[in-house]
Amino acid sequence: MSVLYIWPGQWGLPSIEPGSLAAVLYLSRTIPGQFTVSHCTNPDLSPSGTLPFLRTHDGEAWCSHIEMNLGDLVNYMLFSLPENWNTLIHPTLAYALPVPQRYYVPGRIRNLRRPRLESVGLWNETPAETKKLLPKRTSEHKDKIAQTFQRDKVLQTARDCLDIYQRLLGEKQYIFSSQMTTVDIILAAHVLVILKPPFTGQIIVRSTFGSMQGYSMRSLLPSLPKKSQDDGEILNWGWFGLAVGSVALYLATMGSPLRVVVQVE
Amino acid sequence: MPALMEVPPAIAHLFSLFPLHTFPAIKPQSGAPPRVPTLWIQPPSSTLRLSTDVECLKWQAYLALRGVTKIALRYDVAPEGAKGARLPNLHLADGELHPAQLIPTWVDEVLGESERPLEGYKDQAALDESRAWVSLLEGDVHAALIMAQPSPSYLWSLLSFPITPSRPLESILSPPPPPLSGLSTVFPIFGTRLSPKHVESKYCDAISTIADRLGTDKWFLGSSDPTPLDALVFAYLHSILHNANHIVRTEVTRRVNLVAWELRVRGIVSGAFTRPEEAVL
Repeated sequence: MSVLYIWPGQWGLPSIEPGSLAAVLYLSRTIPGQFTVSHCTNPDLSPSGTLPFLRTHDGEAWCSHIEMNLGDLVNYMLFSLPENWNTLIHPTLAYALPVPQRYYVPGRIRNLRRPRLESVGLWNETPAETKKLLPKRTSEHKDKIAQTFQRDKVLQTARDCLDIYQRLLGEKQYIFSSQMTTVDIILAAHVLVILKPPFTGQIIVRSTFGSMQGYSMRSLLPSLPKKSQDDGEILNWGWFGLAVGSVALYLATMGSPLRVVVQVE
Repeated sequence: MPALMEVPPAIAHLFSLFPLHTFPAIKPQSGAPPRVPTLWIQPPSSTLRLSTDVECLKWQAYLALRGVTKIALRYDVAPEGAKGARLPNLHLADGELHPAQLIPTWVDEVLGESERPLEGYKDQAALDESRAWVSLLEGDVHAALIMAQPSPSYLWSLLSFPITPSRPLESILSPPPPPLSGLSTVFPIFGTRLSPKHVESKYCDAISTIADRLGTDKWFLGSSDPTPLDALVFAYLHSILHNANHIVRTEVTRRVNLVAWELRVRGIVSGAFTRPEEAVL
């Protein structure tokens, strides 16, 4: 929980210093119950050298850790592994896009992740991209060794990340307090993208994060949007019914404006 | 066999018009190993013996904060000539050349210490937290530092060889920045669309968080002794304060505790290295 350091209070006021008093009043109205107050007489504790100052939890650092480490793992599972890309992600993206974007945009999305994944050694070239300069047997053997090392590295990264996040969470419901914070949302989002898709490659990564499924679902469920009713169709039928009803009422009251005249000679 | 390999006289006469001259082998410039362990780094600024490159400065700070003294510096080696094509490297008196990742092992051997439990942090939670701070520094802060570097003039880019940076911005930012031409265009994509305001705002948040976390502690995360995280934080703070533009620098100078901490650690780090003329070239 965030801690607000202010000058001590007197005469029924939380603080005798106007700036500190204003800070307490402001936070009490904007984030009530989400911060604590600490009376302090040493302004040198503050990074700027003055009071009041607010010390928040280290959400920024953890968000960065999740986006960089777990984000690399997610990008590897989605875009790097050929078996996941070719059979699952590429078709999913392609069918979500209109023609003609479905033929070239998925590949571009994949290539955007390439510099980052190459820098951490998690990039796999699909067989069509590999230049076959060496005899087939030698290149296949070297590819297998490289893939084995890469998969071990991925597994080790997954276990290290999981250990850190499990220690951070402990027995608590959420990481920093009894309420969900930005860190919980970002962590749950990354874990859900690993757990939910039916990957065919490196499924051991999914099983590694299986223990965090309960925590991730807790973060997901309140945010699922309710299915909205199709009001448009009802309105269309309503207008049609109104038009037909108006015509019928007119004919009933005014009589039909059409007369059939038969000439008999 | 020699009879079959004999060159016909006419062709031998033709070849004699173009004699083959073999030049003597060019010996490597490093020559004999140095008398003292020498750290190869990017050239430092003129007044201090601290490298202008963050990675090299990080390892300089690591050696100094671990208490290793009498390390010489060498800054006439290009990155392409270093092991792994990346500086820094550590050149030892027995001729061995270590890349950066082997420096901690060498330091443990020199100091006669076994691998420190929890890497010197006070507990497991601090060790885990240090990973988060490393990600923040190497992500948001490094991105702002790269964007703050002045871009070379058009004339210089025409005259000089294209140099691929060891860590381009596209490999640091996660998620990756979109292309400048847009993703859905039918034409080939080019460029990178970066939002300087977004990078600056994340950088400001990062510096604010770092300053809050440091407070008035002697070492980061409340450790009793310097840790690898302190070396990394010092490398970034020093680079920001001395090598970056005023926008990036101002954000740190507003934080009194960061400026004071960097000044104190700078004194420790710069005093740990011998003068350049003691290194053997």
